[in-house]
Amino acid sequence: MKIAICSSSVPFVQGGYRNIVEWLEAKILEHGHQVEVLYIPQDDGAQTHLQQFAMYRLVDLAQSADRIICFRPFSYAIPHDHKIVWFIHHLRIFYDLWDSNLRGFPDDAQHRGLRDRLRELDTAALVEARKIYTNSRIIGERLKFYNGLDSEILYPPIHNPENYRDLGQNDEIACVCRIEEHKRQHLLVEAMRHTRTPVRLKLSGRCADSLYSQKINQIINENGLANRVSFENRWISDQEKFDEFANCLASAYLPLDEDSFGYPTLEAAHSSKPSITAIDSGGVLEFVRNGHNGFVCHPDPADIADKMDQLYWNRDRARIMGIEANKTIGELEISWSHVLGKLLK
Amino acid sequence: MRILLAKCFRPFETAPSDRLAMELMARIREAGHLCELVRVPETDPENLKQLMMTLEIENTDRLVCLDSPSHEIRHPCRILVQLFPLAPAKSHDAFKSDDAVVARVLLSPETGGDQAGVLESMSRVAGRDKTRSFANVGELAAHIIG
Repeated sequence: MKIAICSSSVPFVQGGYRNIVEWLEAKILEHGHQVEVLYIPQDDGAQTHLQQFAMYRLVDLAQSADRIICFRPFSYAIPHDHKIVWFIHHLRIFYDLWDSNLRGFPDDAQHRGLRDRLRELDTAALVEARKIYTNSRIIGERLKFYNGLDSEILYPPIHNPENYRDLGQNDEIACVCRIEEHKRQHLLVEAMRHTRTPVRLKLSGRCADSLYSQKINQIINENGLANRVSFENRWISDQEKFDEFANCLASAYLPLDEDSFGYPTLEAAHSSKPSITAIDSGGVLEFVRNGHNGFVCHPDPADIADKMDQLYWNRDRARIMGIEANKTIGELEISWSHVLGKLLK
Repeated sequence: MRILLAKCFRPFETAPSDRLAMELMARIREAGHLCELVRVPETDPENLKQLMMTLEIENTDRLVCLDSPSHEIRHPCRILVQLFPLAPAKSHDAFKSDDAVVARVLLSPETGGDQAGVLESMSRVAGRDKTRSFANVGELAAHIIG
């Protein structure tokens, strides 16, 4: 079968939205099909959304592809008789973030008109799909609320889960992801001021915002935490990441209002390690259940510190929670065989 | 530097120009720059032109348009390229050879929006000796980077 995987992209910006496309490409190729990946550059900040939406209607894959699988807005606008949508997010400033300070333009008649038209166009394009999957329950709920559309959850697996393993427990809480304000690594560092055990924290990931990296370093230095907090401001290699999760005590991932459970949660679970997250971390809560396969804290340094200490003191419990995290992967059917069974049926 | 290459293509086929684009991307990356390739599927000429004109390219320092349809893409720093594969019928190995391809590069960022405008501009620029020909992909990559 000839399958086109379609998404939009911002040139030179990496992220989970590319991972899901490229990992799916590899898995479909392994399955013996032909795959073409199509990224259309898109400027989400431009005031030309309607024109950009219309552009996708001009993309013609009707004769060349037997099936198309679409991801990011507005790739699902590409017309095709056999269109599958794996919906990973809306253009959120026109949806759930409309009333937030991220909107960046006034709430006036002109922009409300643009918002309403985009929602109508999204709905009309998505209705064309034979099937809509979402990468989390939250996304599915938004799709139902804003577009009135039913969907099925299809959680995205990581690329080669067999590389993750459990080699024991050191004293570290590992946080491996982009280092950004909304990922809230600063809360983890501040939590280290309140811990009563020798538990350690290791932050790994690229920080593109120099002000935020300064803030992290400032908290570390002003509180004398340098001997217990490690800050690796870079993308670590895959092997370093496998080793980090294999040996850590637990993982921490507490983004603000995330759309999905987040790859770090899954990487920790494949390594049989529990995760610390927060009650306002959005899709992460679809995976992490408090006291079962991790801890769900208040986004408060003292509460986070308490959970870090509990993991340090009660390693048997931490180990059992890690095993439960690993079992959760199966319970939520997070596997490539499940994904391919859905997308290729 | 962030260099974006753009061209159109036929899905599930690999044309000589596709291989050349990949080779060019590899050369630019080898020189230490970031480079990505945007490919737009071929469709009827009018739709393709509209599509190219609507593309919004951000976060990119230099755009290299590798065929006539992609010359329609807007960007403040463009290099327009016409590729002339000398041996399209030969094996893939021909395109690994430095002398297998000639590329003509048109150095104008000021071409008009329609095809006639582009062609006219190409001619005018050529008359001012701003058209350069390159005997191989390595020379072309060096010119783009420079």
